[in-house]
Amino acid sequence: MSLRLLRVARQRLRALVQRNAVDDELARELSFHIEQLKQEFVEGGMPEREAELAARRAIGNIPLIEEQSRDTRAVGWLHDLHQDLIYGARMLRRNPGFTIVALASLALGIGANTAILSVLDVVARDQLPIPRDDRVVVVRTYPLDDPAQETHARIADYFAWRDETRTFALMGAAMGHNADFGAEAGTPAERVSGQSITTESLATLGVQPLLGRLFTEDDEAVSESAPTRVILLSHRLWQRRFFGRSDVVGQQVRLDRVNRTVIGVMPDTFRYPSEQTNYWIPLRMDRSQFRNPQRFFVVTARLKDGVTVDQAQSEVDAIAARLARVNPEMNEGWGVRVKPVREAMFGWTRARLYTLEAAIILVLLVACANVAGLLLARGLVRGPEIALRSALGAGRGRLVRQLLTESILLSAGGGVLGLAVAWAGINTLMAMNPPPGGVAIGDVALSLRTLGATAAMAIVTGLLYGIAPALVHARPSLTTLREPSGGSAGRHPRLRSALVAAQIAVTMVLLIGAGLLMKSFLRVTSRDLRFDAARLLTFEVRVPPGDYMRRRGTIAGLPYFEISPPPAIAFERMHRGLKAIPGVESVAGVSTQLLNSLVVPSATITLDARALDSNEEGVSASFAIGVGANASHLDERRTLTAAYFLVTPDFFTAIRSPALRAAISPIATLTAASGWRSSTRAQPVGSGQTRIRLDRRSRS
Amino acid sequence: MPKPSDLLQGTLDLLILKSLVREPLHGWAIAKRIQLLSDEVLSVQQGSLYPALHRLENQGWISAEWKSSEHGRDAKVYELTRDGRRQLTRELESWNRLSSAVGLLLQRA
Repeated sequence: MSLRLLRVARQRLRALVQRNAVDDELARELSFHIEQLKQEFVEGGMPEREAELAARRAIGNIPLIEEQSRDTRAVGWLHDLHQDLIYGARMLRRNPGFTIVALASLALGIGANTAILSVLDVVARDQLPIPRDDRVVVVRTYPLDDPAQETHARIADYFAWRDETRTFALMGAAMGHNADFGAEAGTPAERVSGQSITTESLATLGVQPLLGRLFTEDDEAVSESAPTRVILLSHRLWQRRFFGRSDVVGQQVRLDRVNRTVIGVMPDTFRYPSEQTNYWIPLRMDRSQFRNPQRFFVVTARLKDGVTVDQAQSEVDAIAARLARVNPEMNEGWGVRVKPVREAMFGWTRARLYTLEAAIILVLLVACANVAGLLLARGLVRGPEIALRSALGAGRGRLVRQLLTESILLSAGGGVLGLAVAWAGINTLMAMNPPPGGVAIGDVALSLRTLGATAAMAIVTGLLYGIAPALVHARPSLTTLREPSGGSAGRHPRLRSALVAAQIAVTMVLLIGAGLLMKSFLRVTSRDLRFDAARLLTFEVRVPPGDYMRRRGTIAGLPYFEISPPPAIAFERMHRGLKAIPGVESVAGVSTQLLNSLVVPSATITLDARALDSNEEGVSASFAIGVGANASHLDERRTLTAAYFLVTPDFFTAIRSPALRAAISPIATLTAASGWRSSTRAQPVGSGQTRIRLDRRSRS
Repeated sequence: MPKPSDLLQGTLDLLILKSLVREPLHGWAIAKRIQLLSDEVLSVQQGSLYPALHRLENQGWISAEWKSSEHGRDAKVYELTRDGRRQLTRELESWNRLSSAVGLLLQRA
């Protein structure tokens, strides 16, 4: 059998590369045959000339025989393909208008898809520098009545999971940490974010430092006031702030005015839990805070070999149920979720990218419908050509093949241009990355895999939009030879209508999607801020907490601090310095950042009758500024709960708030209501004048 | 237009293979042999012989070689391959099955 296949292969190869020789052989065979026939006829008594003609008659249509014999070689399609490609290229060149429109739609469709696929490819396989990352899970809690709102763990949860489970080999915790790096030679002071993290957490992730060493339990046991405190630097911070010097290990850095020794630098690929993590310091899990209700511990764990995520899940479920029974006030209504670390880190980004990809596939479909419509319309022009080809003996299959080759040639061109679009698109996506707070995507580039996807896309789209017009056009009628205008498209109104309908439908879906996106975008940007954000800069001033906060003990599991406010003179000096900067028009201070604060202090205020009568609306308007969620509420007792900001007198001038200017006088008439146990007077910084008086109920 | 080879598609292959059983032949001789064997009842459209020969060659049932003929001219001589012989046996079997079945059918009808 294999011998035969070998012979077949040799035969086909010969037909392919020695095409002329094979044709020539057939001609020689045929002429020999004719010669023999003629001789036979002559011997039978026919005159020579007549015998020649009779022999030719007997043998039949020689070009047809040649064609049939070529078909038996089974490599004809390759030759045809070559011919069709050349012909297709010529047709495209001759119709530049059509070609440019078609290429542009295809390039956009294919390019956008390639760009998103490239990003998805990286997100799906992004190199987590975690050995066997499929064994690493993140354990989070969520309120049972709102399961989408995942949050992290309480300290008590962490200890319960760590001590009572059998499915985890290792479990560790981490929490966000922000600190000021003190100025050193050549680098200014700056505020950076990092993590405090347990030794077990680093072991769970299984990552090794690039330089130096990881924490040990000794580092963890060191109290926060001891001189032997340590820090691990991220690769990025090391490069940026320490210029990649390898002697950084062992150096002292000042973090929140406290010295720490750099014990190691992590590899570039270790960006846990996010791109914005610049350093890691030891985290000590303290059982004394057992009643701390805050859920801010990021718990990671490594599953034991052979244990599935589902098994771990059912184990923590059982613990959650037990905790809810034992200590309902803390634990009732909370569920626990075990998620693979990859999903926990990238799931959010991926979901968004899939949505985007779905939309962009629709764009490609519209491009296809568009080109199919163009091809159908062009059939009017090409009708006579196709009728002629058909009259010359081209079968329907052969015509379809030719037309499809042209389509695929077109979409291949679209694919090549699409790569340029994709390249630009990826650069744009990368420029937007990382979004603040989001998980950053690693470096995205056009890879061989995505190039393959692009090629596949080009072929599939070519077939997709080419098949219907090809089938229609390859059914030529000879009348088109006479009347080029009564073309095939006229005979297929239904196909054209279907195409147009599909195109409109998909475009509508896209339009609605785009409209919704635009609406939420506009809602953010055009929200009436009641102040003039143009040329308004904001920044935060923090004071080192160590200098102004004294820990006094614990109340209900929460640390309790005594705060001594920084002296007004410090702010006054800053105010003068800022005002002296050329180009600065006005400078003002506010206690809580505008628009950007989730937690704003609020106070209950009782209005006196006069204020209510004169300008009730003004009052609510003034308090609504930047508050959003904490909408003012005026009840029948003439009190309202409103968020408040402590501001300096020139604040309203600085933010140019027209609403506030109108509202200022009623606010000034607010008076303290009786019955409050204490009252705090808001003391505007930098001036002795009091504009707003707020009364706050003190809580015991 | 009904093609004359529609009827003969399989049959012509069978006849060519059969005519090559005894010795290698060139195209002209194969045509003569088929004519002779069929007592001139079956007349092959002579030209259609060649595409059939090339098809069989491409399928590896027969092999070809240029040899000088008895008249001193070079002719392409076809020969059954071993696989061709096996193929012939298979085709003969199925032909016999078909023809006896059709014969039986016609007798009973």
